[in-house]
Amino acid sequence: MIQLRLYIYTKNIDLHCVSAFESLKNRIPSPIHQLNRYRKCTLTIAVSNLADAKTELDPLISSSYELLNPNKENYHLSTLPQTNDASYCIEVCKQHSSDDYTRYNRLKAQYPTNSLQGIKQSIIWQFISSNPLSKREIQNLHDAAIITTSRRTGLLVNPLFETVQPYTPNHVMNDPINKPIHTR
Amino acid sequence: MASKIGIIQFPGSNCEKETLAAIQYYGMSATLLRWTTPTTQFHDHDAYIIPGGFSFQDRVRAGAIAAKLPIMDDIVTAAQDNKPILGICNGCQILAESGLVPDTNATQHIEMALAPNQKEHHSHGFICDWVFVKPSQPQQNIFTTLFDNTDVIPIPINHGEGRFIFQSSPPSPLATFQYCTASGSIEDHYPINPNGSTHNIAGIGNQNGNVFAMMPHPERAYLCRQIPTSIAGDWPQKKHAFFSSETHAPGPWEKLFIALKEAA
Repeated sequence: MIQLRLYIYTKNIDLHCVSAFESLKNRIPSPIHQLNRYRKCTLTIAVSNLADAKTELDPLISSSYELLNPNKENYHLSTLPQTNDASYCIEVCKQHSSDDYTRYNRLKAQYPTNSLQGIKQSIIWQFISSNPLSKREIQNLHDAAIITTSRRTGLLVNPLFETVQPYTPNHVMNDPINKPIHTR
Repeated sequence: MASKIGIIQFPGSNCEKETLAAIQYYGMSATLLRWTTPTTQFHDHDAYIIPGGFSFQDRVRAGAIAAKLPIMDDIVTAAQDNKPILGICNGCQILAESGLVPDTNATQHIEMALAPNQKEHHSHGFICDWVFVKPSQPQQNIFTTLFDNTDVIPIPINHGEGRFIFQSSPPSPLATFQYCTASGSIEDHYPINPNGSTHNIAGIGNQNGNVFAMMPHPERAYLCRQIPTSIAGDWPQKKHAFFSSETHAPGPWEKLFIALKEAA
């Protein structure tokens, strides 16, 4: 099994980011000067090497329109691009997402012979700042910009149906694994 | 003097004109208030409606960006002044993201959310259909006070994120509408509960009884002629009967708009 990670982003402008960043900027003082958003898509493919995995991945990306819309979206494979400035990332997952299972079934219906075994999607928000954030700044960020508990606090995560955790984007890539990701 | 209703228009709202028509039909005057309306102008109204649509294109989450705007401070003030406030569809999502419903402790902490639709615990995407709802504890909110527990009312739904979920169990003394069959039976399965809402909830009021948030669209059923003949129940027959005498006969949501008129 090979596990591939796609970080999908919009080619031109991500309006989720624009609105989220403007909203945060207007409400809280923050060292953050840029906000990026990626749809992280982790695919488990039943092949033995990376080259075969990429071969299996190609049609899913270029013509399925299930993982991304190639007319307006692109992706980074395995890692996020390096930034000159410091970055802090969070991963937001739906608590009871069934989208992955539905998407997996639609892909298998389109490509019945593909070796795809599972899909798991989440959202990565990347906060860019000039200097690495201190623990206190990270805590402030979580309180003020991330975890939504009232109209005045948080924005990016609704804890009633979403979970969030700090995310290190480049720590694992293209892992050979023993089990497919469970999609339901 | 006619009640003056402010209909709040965010970038991406798309049901404000129907809402305006419904308000005027029931003898109230209405003004479209843009999201940038100054506070002094804003408070010159007796009640407010946040209509349906896709405010800010549902960026981040439905209603999340709109809930952070300064105009929501004015909405909170109006709610605290006991003015009636109704949120429909996207307006319901904005009220939930603002913590104005159910607001059981009057702190505007977020106690419920409108999560993506589910059908039998699987993702269901956007739904557009007619459903039936019935009120529960209608006397607890000014918008539902004219309804009876036995009323079964047809109404259209049109949303992708309409599944009510609560931090704890839904607060019981609050007025709600619940999805039900055409005969009024509350059954927790698709398509009776079209989006997997907790306890079949389609709309819920606040603790104070002056704010109500509902996902279905009453402004699309304010006239009898808006009812499709294909749905179950007696409203299609009523529509036929009215058509022979009166083409602008009031629809099944007359009680909600009359209650608003009386309260505003």
